[in-house]
Amino acid sequence: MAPINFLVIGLGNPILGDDGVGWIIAQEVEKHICSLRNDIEFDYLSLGGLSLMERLINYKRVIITDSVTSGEIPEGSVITFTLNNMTDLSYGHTTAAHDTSLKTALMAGRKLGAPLPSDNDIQIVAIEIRKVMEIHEGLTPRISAAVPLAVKHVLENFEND
Amino acid sequence: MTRITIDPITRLEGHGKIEIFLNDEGDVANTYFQIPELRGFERFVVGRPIEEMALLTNRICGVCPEAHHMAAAKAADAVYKVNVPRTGKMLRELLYMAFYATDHTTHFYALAGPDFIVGPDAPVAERNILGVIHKVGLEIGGKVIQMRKYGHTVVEKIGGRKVHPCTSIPGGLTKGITEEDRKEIEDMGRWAIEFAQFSLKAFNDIVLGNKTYLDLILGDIYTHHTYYMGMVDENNKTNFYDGKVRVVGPDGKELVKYAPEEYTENITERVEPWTYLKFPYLKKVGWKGFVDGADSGVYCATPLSRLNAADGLATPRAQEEYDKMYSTLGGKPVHQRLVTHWARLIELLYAAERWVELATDTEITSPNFHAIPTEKPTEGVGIVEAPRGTLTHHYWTDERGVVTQANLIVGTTNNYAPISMSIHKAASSLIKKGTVVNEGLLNMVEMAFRAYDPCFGCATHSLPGQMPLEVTIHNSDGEIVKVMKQFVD
Repeated sequence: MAPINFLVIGLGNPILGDDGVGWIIAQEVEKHICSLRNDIEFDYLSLGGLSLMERLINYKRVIITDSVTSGEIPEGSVITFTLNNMTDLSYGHTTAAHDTSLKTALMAGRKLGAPLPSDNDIQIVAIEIRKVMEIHEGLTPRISAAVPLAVKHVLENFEND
Repeated sequence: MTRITIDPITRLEGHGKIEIFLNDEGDVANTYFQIPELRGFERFVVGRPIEEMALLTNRICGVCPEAHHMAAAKAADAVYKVNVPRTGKMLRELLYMAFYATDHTTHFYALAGPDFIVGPDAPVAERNILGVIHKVGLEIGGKVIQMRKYGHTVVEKIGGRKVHPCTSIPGGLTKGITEEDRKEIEDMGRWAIEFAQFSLKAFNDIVLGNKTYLDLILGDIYTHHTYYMGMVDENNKTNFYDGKVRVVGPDGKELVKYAPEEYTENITERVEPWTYLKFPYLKKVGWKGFVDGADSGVYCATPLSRLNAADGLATPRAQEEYDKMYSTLGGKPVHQRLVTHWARLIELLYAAERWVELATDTEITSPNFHAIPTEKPTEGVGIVEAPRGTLTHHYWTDERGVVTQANLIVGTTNNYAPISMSIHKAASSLIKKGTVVNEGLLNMVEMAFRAYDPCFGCATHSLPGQMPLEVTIHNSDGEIVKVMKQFVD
């Protein structure tokens, strides 16, 4: 069996409506690729910061599928970027009473010697959402319609690899 | 009137905002801690099977899913009136102790750490998790990561998944553990005891050994005299997983000790027009406003409250530390809120010791971890001590076990009134006419609520995670005259 070097994480909360889109994207990718590749691991998480960083230990490349709330692009837009291109608004600080940002957590993890992928090897594929505080299952139509494009972006990562 | 706003906006953990209003003289006129809480969860679960609650509710919060899992599981046991076999109870408690050790470790090193290890008025660029690592050294930072890894591993072995366990069902669990698992869990627990003792020593050296910090902790700024709540066993010793809820007064005397199903006779809630979150208070004492004293129904449910409400801890090393804390501070109860950090570390030691006790019980690997429910489902209440306060789940079902109504009082909600009072007192004490309101000073106001380890979690993780603190100062006309942000642009 090939070593597991790739990790795809569906991130979000599946009971917060569109916030759960990261899970849906990852599930679709897994359906497409599980019969073709055995060197990719999938996981579905509702975590951030330190706990998310700990999950990335020992992987060379990671793709995180998620929602994003920039408020600067139209709802349903698909964006792809690597973590090193993301501004760490909370550089060094806690983002909540119990946690910090993923970038800061990664800095701390690397400082402590944890084998973590570089920020350049952590790819984010996300869909811009608006409704993030309503408890329900399922996606709104505009977000649901954007899922195939996000899936395509994720799969492109594996085409030349 | 001048208005100061501390806005800990975060997508990771709900929203909250501290507003400080100054009068024309420049003194604090009033403060508000507002929480636009996520709403609708209690309606969302209606129509779903009761056995799903332990899986669904642990998605409410990204910080303490294990606590919701346990409270919901215990409520489901009560709904079916089923007694969980001893091994089932022990396995759940064992998972819970590992979670507690993980959670309390994170709080002390990542959250309280910047305040006490780096310093409350240290430059912003240093008062953070990286600053803590720099100050305590890489070796200790590595131990923190190791502690978290062990905690997650135990949760996964018993709960089936890391962080969001899925094995508790009405009557017990879906799986047990093997002897090989048990041995590994025991070894990790023994390491956790050493780590907890090390952490208490670090607190002793870094915090208690520093007169400035000690004066800050014991000073009047962070002191309130309220009732205290915590779950206890049959010997009135603190218990995180099971028992009765005990409430003691500001004088330390027991007011009431109630079983989970009696919570509505003892706790009721008050609504204020300026916030979504309700203020629970002691029904028998009554609401007298945001005030201290035996006549005020305001109570506190925190690590310090749990120790105040109990007669001790059921493990030897933790009991020793418990005695040391109270003898150092002049007896029970302790009212200085920043002592909560000390209490949290004593609880960390208790959790680690209890972890080993359970892992070495001869019945822990027994296959008798589940009892099949036979009664018709009706209504049930489950209570556990979440790290940040007493957590109550209450469900009503129809005869098929489908939820028809739900009520949740989460850990931090208990502390909403005392948190608000602490913010007001800290702000009033620190901000006076002519005071230059800088980041260090506002951090000391923020410390007043951080001691409670508040959690307004919703487990939403959309990017980008934002910083928790934004300070906006308005002049008497409401115009913004200054904005301060904690992050580095």
